[in-house]
Amino acid sequence: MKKRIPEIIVFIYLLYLLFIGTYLQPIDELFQGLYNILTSTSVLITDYMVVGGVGPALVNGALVGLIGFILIKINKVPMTGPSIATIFIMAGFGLLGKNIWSILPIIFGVFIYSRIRKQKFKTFIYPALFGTALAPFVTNYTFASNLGLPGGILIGIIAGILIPPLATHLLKAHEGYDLYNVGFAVGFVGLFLYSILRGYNLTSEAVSMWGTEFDSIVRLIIIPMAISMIIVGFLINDQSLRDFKEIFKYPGVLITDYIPIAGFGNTLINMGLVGLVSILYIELVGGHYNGPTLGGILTIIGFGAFGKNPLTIAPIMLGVYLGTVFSVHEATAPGPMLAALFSTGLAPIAGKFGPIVGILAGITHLSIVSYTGPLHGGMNLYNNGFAAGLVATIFIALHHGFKKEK
Amino acid sequence: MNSSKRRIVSIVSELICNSLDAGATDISVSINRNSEKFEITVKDNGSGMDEKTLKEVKRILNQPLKEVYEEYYSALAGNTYTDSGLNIVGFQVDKAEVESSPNKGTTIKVSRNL
Repeated sequence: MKKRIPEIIVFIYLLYLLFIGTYLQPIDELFQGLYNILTSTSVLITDYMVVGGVGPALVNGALVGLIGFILIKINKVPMTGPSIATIFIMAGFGLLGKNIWSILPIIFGVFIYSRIRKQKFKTFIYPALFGTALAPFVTNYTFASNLGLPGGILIGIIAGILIPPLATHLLKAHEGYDLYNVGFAVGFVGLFLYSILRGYNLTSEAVSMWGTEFDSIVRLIIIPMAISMIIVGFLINDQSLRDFKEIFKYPGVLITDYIPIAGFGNTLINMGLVGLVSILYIELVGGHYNGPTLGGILTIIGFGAFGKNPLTIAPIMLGVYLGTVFSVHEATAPGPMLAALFSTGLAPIAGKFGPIVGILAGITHLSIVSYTGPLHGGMNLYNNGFAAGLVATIFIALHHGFKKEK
Repeated sequence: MNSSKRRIVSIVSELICNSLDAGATDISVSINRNSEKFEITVKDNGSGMDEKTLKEVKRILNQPLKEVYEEYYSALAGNTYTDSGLNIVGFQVDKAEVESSPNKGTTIKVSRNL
């Protein structure tokens, strides 16, 4: 029973989002909102709360997370730190671009790759689930091109086939200092596919849907969720913080799974704490709570099991904020808000090299991410993961280039 | 990873990195492989480990096999911080034996049934 506690807790939080989503709107509005979400092009930045309403967005997010949960269970993958991160990022991006059908061709594409390699699908399950970041390729080409559904699905499958080899290869570029490695890889897949499709006039339209009226309701959802994780984690840890400090001994470089290091209880406390840090950032800068920012918070929470802790994410986020102070960027604008939340994929840089370097990484990230979206036509939802990979690669290369050999 | 060659390179690379990080000036590597299993032994004259570190290293290297990690994350071998790197070895092997003491070097022997 004790071994099953992580999966039970994760399942309960998914049900929490699902329950609140179904409760918030009448059933006919719920279905209409879901229909709107399922038929949107979903390129960056599409706030599903704007497209369909808060309730339908949460239902979609919870269901996308549940699909990830079910696939992990069916493939007998343990509920480890990376599994938790995967499920939470899927649920989070179910609020801003992934939906319950658009993720399937990507996953199927990775499945085909596993068949080609004559290996079990489970050996590629993380690239498959993280790789659903390219879901907008499916929806954009289904609804905004003359390729229609067959074309959208085919492009999604091709994208899925390309993800695993690129994800493995590109790890070496940043050496695990970008926690969103698949985001980095799918940035290249997106760049590759979009460049080819664009040559045939198959493009995407820039979108900026950013909710500004959901602050109160989203606060009521996410703040209790983060606090409850701290309380539940404390209770699971025999009502103590014993061994919690173990989490801070690691910089968080891939692959740092906090569950075997500090236990699930402490990991859950850490998840709640990093969630609260991200909430605090939004409050301090005066940003809005909506699909994308809630997606960001859920992603940070998930990676609180797999590489992030409050001391390593804070310098990165501070760096992004400082990057807005004397520049053309505004801290509360959509791009910088998402940059602040998702730049935390660079947490290992702060963990390994200290907070000053972490701040510099955050500043650099804001500059780079501002220009990477068009490379993939806004169809890589992990645009910040892509930018973070570029930042991490640059920083690690410079570190190797200038450090003295022992 | 259906190639034992890539798996062996990944493991040896990471163990050699650890020996070099420990200041070893003399490292010997022995690899024994056939169609059913492989065994790798890396012995060095580095700084060795104290009891607490040795216990942690044994824990990391004797963790259960993780098929779900080895194909994807093994590319990190040889480049990372010590603990993450040994993690990469640990999830690819069935069994690990470690002998080490401060200033007396370290011998790590790992094996995997194919």
